[in-house]
Amino acid sequence: MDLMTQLTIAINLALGLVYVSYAFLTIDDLRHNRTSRGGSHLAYGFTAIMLTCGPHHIDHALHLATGNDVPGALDLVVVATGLPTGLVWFLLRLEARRGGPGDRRIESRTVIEVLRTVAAIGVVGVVAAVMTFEPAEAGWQEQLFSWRLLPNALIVVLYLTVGAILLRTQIRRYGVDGTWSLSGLGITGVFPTCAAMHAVWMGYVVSGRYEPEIHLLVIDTIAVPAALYFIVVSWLLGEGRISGGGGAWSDVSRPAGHDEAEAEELLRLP
Amino acid sequence: MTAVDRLEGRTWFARTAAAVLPVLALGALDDPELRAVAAIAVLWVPVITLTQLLQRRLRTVPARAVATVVDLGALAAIARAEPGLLPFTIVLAASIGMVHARDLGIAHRLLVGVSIVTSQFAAGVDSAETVALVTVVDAIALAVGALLWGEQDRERRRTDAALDRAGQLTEAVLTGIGEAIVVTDASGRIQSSNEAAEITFGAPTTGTCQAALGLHRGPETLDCASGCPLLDPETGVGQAEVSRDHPGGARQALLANVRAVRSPTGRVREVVHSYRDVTALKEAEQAKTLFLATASHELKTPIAVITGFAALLDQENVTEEQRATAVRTIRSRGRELTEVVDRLLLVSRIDGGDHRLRTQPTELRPLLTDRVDDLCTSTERPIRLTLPADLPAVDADGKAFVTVLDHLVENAVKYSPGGEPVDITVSVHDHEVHLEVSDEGIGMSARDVEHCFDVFWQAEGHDTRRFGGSGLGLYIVRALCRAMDAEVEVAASVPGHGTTMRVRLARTDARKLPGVAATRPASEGAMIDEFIRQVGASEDRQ
Repeated sequence: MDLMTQLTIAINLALGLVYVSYAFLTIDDLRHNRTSRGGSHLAYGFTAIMLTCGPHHIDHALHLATGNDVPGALDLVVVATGLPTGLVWFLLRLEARRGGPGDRRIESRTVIEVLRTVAAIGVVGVVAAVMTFEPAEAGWQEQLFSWRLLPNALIVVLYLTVGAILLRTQIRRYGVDGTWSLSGLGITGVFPTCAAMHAVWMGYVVSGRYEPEIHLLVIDTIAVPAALYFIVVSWLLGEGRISGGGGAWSDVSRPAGHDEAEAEELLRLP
Repeated sequence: MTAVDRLEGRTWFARTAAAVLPVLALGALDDPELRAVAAIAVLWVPVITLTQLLQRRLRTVPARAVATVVDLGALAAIARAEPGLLPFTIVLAASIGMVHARDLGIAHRLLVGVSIVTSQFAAGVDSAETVALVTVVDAIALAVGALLWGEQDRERRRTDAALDRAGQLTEAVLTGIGEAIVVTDASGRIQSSNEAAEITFGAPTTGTCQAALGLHRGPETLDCASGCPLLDPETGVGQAEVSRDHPGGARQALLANVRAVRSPTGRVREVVHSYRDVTALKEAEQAKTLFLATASHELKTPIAVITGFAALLDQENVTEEQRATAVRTIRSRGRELTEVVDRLLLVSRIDGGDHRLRTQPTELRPLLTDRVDDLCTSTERPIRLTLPADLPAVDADGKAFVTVLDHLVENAVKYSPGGEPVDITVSVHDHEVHLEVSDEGIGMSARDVEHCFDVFWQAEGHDTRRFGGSGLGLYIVRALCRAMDAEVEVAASVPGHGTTMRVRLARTDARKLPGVAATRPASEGAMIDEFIRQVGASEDRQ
């Protein structure tokens, strides 16, 4: 197994574990605050996305490890780009859980350069990928329009949309106080890089390098409604269509009578 | 080295690494995947170099120029152009990387020149790759032109944004500052004022300074018609203590600072006034003076008695009965002295922030029944305690609660000199338990009710002498209650008919009741809260 394959497997595994950890941390938050704050639509959507994203990477790593797929350089490039941003958000969330600030403010226009760099890489990458595309087998056009790639295609669009929603917040906040939120940039970077990973995977399937298989198909198919649900909730939140008060999560009003019933139950205890 | 410098250092490192990578990748150009990676790596460096140049970030320009030269050379090789094109490519890269930002116009002309020369050269080299490269160079030249125009436009927008921001900042400072700011012209006509001015002067500040503000310096009414009387014409600044009379008769003390804004010829064009309301400060000073007088009295009286009885004990012809009386009195007055000193120390700790309480679930019933018995004995006054059958635990510190109770009962006893009983009533409410201490004493006026929790505050001066006390009791009560997340208030007080003081304590089980947030947010650091923040939903609703 060559170095590139080993690196691709290791990074895919790390990313998979980080994303699954996102989901478990969110579930823990929901469980911990169930009695005082109820549920959260956004949390459900986020958990569902991460419970599909994480296993996708782990499954992909396993297929590479067993030799079913041979990793391409673009695969390594995109997962290597996604790992730092995913780790930044993850470590900041761990810090917050331990009572730390959970965020850093960056007062620099350098961030704009970094964002432009990422955008340039994206554009140039797409151009380069198209220019160097060499289908390995005949009939790739059929593969391109295969229903097996449909979930992936939708995921690319949906994750880019989530990334755009998050990026909009970051830019607006920068316009207000002239600083960037490291936490915000971290989570903003997760979704476009995820979209890029799925795009590359599609490209490799079309070119015949990767084999579309049932596990990833199932995982990715579940991810589509999860991402869609998440985007709808984000949009409703942004529009102020859903909101909560008191101790509830910001996106859910507590069911009427829930607190009262719980309080009565508690008061009955000796 | 600042964080920005470190970040830029890392960016430069990444950029250099990206410049070297494609060269290394050249050996494996047959692999289309590696060609794609190399293409990505080599293209973003000049793109970012250009971007940074346009942003006038020049600290690492030479290094970037080298990286650009290497990258564009590699690009030419990757594109499999004619080897003769490499010098032109290198010249182009050097032009991009090394020209100072303020000479970007020259850089652009140079680019166009290179573009033309490259085109001419390409005409003699019949190669599809050459034609493609010429197209790229032309495109870059055009793009730089567009970027230059864009940079100018961006600069203008930045200036507008900076002005807008400065305006907003000034507005925010004027709105947020606690001091009243009034700007007048040279003849005392008010030009503008902030919100604090309206609050301080109790009305919109318009018209002339004299009519709107009605200020006095001592007995003299300030007349601003012929120039600001507070302003020193030499230095252009001034400071004075002024006052204004409220219709109700109360006098408001203000500390005024004025500063002239002069025209280029030195004429006073406008005067910026700031007024700080120091009425409370003055009252506190007066209260402190009163406290020193009363505290001295409180300390001096027992000391005089102790000294007198000590002298008596020193005599030889003292009877046993006189000796016993003397010892008893010295002990009693010594205890009083200790209590006064304890209070002073407690206030000192509270004011210094050193007083820490351990608020925890506390059962009031045993505390109240035990303490009320003691208070009945020590005050020699009947105290009626009414407790509900079901009394839930409250969030309190046991010792602090007893101190609060002692002070309230002591006040009730002190201010009901007729020997009337004191009532202590406890009632249970939705989220709180209320403790009420009622007397049938002299009661308080509205002004006393307003100020009774202030430090060193006492009822009317003559009452100080009539009833004694240091003016610290209710101040201590309020500080301790707040430290326990409780509240104390005057529930009712009628002069001549008594007072009811109420302490509102939080029920321990109320944290689970509807409408009450947990005292410790269990969701601190929750991932989903952060995500909601980053989606921008919380800001949208503000």
